[in-house]
Amino acid sequence: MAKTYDYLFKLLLIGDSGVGKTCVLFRFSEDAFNTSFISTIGIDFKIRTIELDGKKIKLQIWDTAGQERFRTITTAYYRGAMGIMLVYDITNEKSFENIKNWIRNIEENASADVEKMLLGNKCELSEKRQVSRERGEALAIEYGIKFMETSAKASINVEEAFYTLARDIKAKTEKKLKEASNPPKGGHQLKPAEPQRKPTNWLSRCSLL
Amino acid sequence: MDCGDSAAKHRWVCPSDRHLALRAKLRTGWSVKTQPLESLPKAQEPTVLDDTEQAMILEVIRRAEHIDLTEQERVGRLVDRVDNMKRNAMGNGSNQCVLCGTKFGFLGSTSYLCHDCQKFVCSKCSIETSSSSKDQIWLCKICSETREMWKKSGAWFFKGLPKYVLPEKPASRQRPNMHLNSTSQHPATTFNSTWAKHGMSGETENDSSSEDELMRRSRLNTGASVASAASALSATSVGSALSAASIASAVSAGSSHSGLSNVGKLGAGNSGTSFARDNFSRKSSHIKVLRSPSGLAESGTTATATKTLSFPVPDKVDSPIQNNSQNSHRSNFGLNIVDPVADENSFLTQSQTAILHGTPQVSPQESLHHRSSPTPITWHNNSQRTYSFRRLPGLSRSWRDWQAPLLSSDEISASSDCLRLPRSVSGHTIAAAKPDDIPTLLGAHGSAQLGSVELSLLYDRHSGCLHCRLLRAKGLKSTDINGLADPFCKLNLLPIGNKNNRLRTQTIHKTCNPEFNESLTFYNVTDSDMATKALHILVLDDDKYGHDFLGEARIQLSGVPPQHARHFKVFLDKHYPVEDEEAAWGEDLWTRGQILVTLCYSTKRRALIVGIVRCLNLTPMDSNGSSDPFVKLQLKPDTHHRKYKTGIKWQSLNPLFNEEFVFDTKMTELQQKTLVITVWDKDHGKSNDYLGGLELSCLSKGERLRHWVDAIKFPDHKHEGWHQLVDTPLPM
Repeated sequence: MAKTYDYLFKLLLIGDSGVGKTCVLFRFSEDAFNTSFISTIGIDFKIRTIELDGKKIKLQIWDTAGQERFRTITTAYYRGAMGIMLVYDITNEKSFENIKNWIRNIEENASADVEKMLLGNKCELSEKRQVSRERGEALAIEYGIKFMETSAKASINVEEAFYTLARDIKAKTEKKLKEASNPPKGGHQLKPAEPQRKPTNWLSRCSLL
Repeated sequence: MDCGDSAAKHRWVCPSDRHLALRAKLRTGWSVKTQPLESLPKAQEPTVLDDTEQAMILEVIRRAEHIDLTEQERVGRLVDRVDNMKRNAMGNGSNQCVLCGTKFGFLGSTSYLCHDCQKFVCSKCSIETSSSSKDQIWLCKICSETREMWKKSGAWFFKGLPKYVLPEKPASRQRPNMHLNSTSQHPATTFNSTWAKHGMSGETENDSSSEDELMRRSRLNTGASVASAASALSATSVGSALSAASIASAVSAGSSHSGLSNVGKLGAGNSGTSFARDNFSRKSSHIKVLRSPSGLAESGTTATATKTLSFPVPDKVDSPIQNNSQNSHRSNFGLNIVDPVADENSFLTQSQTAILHGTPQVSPQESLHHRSSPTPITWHNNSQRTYSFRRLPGLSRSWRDWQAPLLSSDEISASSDCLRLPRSVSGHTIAAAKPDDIPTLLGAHGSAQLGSVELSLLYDRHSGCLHCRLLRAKGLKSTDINGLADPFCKLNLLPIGNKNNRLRTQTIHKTCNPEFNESLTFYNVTDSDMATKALHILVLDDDKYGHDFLGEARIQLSGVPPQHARHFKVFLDKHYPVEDEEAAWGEDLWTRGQILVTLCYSTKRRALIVGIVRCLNLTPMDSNGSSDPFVKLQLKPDTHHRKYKTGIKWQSLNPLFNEEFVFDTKMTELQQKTLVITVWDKDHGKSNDYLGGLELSCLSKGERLRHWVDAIKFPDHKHEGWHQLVDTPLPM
């Protein structure tokens, strides 16, 4: 394990069963594709180290089972995720509609600081398309998150999607730190070491029990 | 790919999609209403994982653990790097560069003010950066490295440093269990120290290498000088049996992990609750707790809240006062007198030290109050004489216990349940290494976690004055969410007798290490007073809710010779009850009475269930000397403006309500909410009288904060707590 890295980002892939989460991850981590469908058992993860602005970022990408029966296991991993990919299948209307539910799931279980991104997978199957690109974009705008159409099979936008998410997280890191160094004005006590922080969502992390 | 047609190939038939289809028809979402639907009678869905599935998941988890370990080591290196930089800092930060110690001034280099630590640094040791408002700011290298560490470790995200493993030092002198010991459990520890100092210290932070150092130094010290220098601090490890004498080896993350299962659960719950800046501030102040008595600036060793305390008593303790105190009923706990030679500063060099350590006796009054949880005293006849005490659960709570002995012991909340678990003890020695530090010893009840107070006393026999110069307090408990407190001291000579002159210092805001530097004088003090009375110093947190108790110190005045200034450094202890609390400490402590509230967040009902159990000592408002109280409550902010009321209890100052109210709210929103409870006196024909109020939220302090946070942290448990009512009207 001599490989060094500067950051470790934990990402999470969620979405309905069969939308291609595992394939997207497989494409990103191994640059390969497997047509046979093997449902993910509970959880799995892959590692890939990427470089952004000269910094080595180790991505630990958690792949979750879309099936409901693993929900208890998978939701346990929401908490530690810094970035979440919401994946739907453009040839499956229902998987797109369920994105709302997934987002609700995130709101309930994940950290409030989490970066989200919406992926419409299987975009190479344009003839079977049920969800238009515009609808995907509209939904992403509604939730204020980024959107991309990807194809794990044709290797479209997969790299870009993960890089974008990683870049967003990295940017957030810097933003957070600068915010932290600017305590809210008012009150003349100089307490630079412990600026007043709003007690938001730091507790929400502990409801893993 | 998986939509139904592949079902035949798999044993389970893609249940989620079928479910979803069903629910889509029923127009029910599946994320929220999962519970009732799943509880419907159905057979097709295998909810239990079979062995192969379990094995696969476990395999993944095992792989993840490996990654986590690498990550912990990496974070450990980052932490170590910052620690090293801090260690090597040379300057004072005002007229010298904080890092390299270069003098500023006319000929020296220009200075920059570090934005984060507000200390001055030279140009070489500073880094220019910009803040979020695009202002140009400078950071010293330590602070910039700290920021870097926060960024790289993910602490910015987790609101606290994640668990880490400090890199192993190449140096020898390491025990094989070094690795275990150095596993710091940051989130958990910081949480403990912030919120649950009075109890749930499951975790210990230990750097065994520095621990080794401590032991080495202590040996040197005890060999060289009077034994008093060796003070010890024990670290608790939950679960394992008593092992007071075995030093350090038991204090490992491992042992605290292997503790009773619910403790482990607690720990798990704790981890990850730490709070970004808080974490830092707590950590530093925490270390200070240790530093102040031991003077070990660089040890980096932190032992968390210790309820059970053990310390080695050096063999050659020769102090007449010790015997004295052991006989005396009101022993001075954790008191160390440094004999003066007129000049109060001379104690630095002249250490003709007498140690008073608390006697293991329990006064009748104490034992009466403690009957529910006695104080076991164990002697260990080891090469190091060690004795350990089991402390009462909830140090600060005991303060309340005195006041409200009605606090039922049978209804123990989940957290206090854990507090009562047996704790094992293992002491490790910390020696006073700095020669100019006042040697101190923890008292029998010496609660390092409560901090210490330093003062000097001068009794002027001719004018009958007792001058108390209150210098400072160190390592006080924090009460607010930022890990800080607003301490002040109340002083009184007790027992009161016929004169009562209570004194108080100013409040020093937002610090756990206040510098009071205040002189207070008791007048008309007689020789007999000096012989019989004790000076009690009550350290309180200034807050509108009846001043949270931070600690109490007692100094037997018989040890103060006339016309001689004596310097004291006393460890704070729990409150010592006196006959007439109100006369001794003023009525502002208990003005408006108390209320017993239970909080329980029910994850099933997605609601906060607030129980109003009873009130005590309410203020009489009606002409018949009584009140007709009822309680109103509201969870704010609330879009629906829901308010609840209890029934009216006619003519009672200690009403029993036992009513529960349900506030539908999301768990995640609970942190932003404030529970406002007000008690009113029902009057017919005129407006109701306000009897008192209480606010519980994350912005509360002390016990209220702890209660609120416990309720959020451990849902589905009833958390019970007594609270003071405050007379300031709360908006309803």
